Amino acid sequence: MLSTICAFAQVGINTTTPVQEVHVAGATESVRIEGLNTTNNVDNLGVGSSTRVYADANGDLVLGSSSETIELLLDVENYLVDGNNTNGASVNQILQTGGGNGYTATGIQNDIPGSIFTLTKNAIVEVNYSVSWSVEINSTGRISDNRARIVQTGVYFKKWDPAVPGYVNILTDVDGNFINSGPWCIASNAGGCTEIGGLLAINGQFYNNGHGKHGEHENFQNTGSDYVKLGPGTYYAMFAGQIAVGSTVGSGAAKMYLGSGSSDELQIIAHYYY
Amino acid sequence: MKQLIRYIVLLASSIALGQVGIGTTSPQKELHIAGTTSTVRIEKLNSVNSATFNDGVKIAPVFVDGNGDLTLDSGFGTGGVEPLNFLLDIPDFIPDDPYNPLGFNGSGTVVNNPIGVSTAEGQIISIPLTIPQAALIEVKYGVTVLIAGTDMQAGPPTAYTVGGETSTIFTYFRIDLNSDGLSAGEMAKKYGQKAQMYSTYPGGTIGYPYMNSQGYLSLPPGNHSIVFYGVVNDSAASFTSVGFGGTKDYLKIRVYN
Repeated sequence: MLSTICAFAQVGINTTTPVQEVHVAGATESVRIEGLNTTNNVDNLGVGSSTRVYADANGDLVLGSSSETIELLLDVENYLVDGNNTNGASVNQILQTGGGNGYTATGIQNDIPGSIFTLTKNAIVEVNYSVSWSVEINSTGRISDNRARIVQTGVYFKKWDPAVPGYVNILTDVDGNFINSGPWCIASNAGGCTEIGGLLAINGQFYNNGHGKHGEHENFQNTGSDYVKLGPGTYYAMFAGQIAVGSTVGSGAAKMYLGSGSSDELQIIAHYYY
Repeated sequence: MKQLIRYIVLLASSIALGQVGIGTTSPQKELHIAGTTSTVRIEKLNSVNSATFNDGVKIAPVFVDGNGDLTLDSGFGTGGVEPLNFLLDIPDFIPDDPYNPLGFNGSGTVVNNPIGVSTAEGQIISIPLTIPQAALIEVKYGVTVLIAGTDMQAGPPTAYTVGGETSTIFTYFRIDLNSDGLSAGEMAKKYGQKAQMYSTYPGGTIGYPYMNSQGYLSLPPGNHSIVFYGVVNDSAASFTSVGFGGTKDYLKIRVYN
């Protein structure tokens, strides 16, 4: 039985001048740890795969599973309050604009506390959504002018700021870059832009109708998917939308309602760096 | 049985060995740590000494830096070690002037579908993409479109498309390996296809809805290009001009390696 305990300040393998405590020199040299191999460790993905290595609280090298790197922060089937709400706290009406940056921050969550999520560390955050919308001239009339409309939607994040205190729109990612080359104007009035945000996963589709009583005016969905790098903090997501047309002459202002249908799917996933 | 116990304590010194076995007398690697529950403890990586990246609750991923040193890092910032997978964010990746070549440098953002033609394809932009090692990449994009009945390569739009006629607009991308031009095989493979219809009478909007889609693909190491294309379909009797990327577009590429 050979029992050896050696304590060195620095150990060099294939080198006489170690520059770290353990220095393995040579172009093809490596370190083998049997406690991490596929026979001894169930978290090893096996021959032909590579498995991530982690350090635990002691600094011991260990293997991890998917839960260490990815987390489903939010998975909601019907994120926004339904119906055509024209007033009160749940307003989701968006008035038609001529074009450009005429977004309106809109909609309100069905479950406000359940919409809030916390990132404990930097992450690549993935946003996937499918949001419902409907469009009309008024409660008894549909668009009938055959003029193309664009219905555009996007998501922006609000982050808790203890200095306010309150939630404020975030404009930049964790590296300090404006999100999607923003900032974006997400609410405006006749005097100009009243609110800016960092719009993500922007998606648009055309709508057109030529009969004031017939033709589908609801049951539409916009879908989007995007990534953004966010730092630690407490957040929630909101929607902004826009309906645009070239000319309103003779047609009046159309209105759209975001989240008016029964299904507004929102998934927010964190892919952690560390 | 001969028992040999040695204690060697050398302070402020170093030792050079050929191969080292711990728990084994026949090391298979330069450093071989045997035993079914064996591991290595590196105190620099523990929750006291690397509190920023190791919170002591969740285990922290270990990376290898450019020197081969084991390290913990966030991968963020200029001093950060790149993480195992990272995100390339290329905001507004298409020059904004849809009336090329009158304004900006760059070309190909306008695709015309002239009279006598029912399907027209044009290149929007080619983006260089350097892949350091074989990787799976994920591409998500959003491209704006602007639609008119007059040639936007010659000037700003002056007329709508023919009233009541439906046209369709496609976007997708191809991969040019080694940036040496698209081969027949590379032309045949389209990723992230997206299409939508357009129809209006005068007074409708002409832009900009976002066309977005995504795709995964595997790439070998090298300096490649991701090439975006636009397609316009209409009646052969009509003229349709589409400007791709006239306002803020986005391109996100995740690299998994």
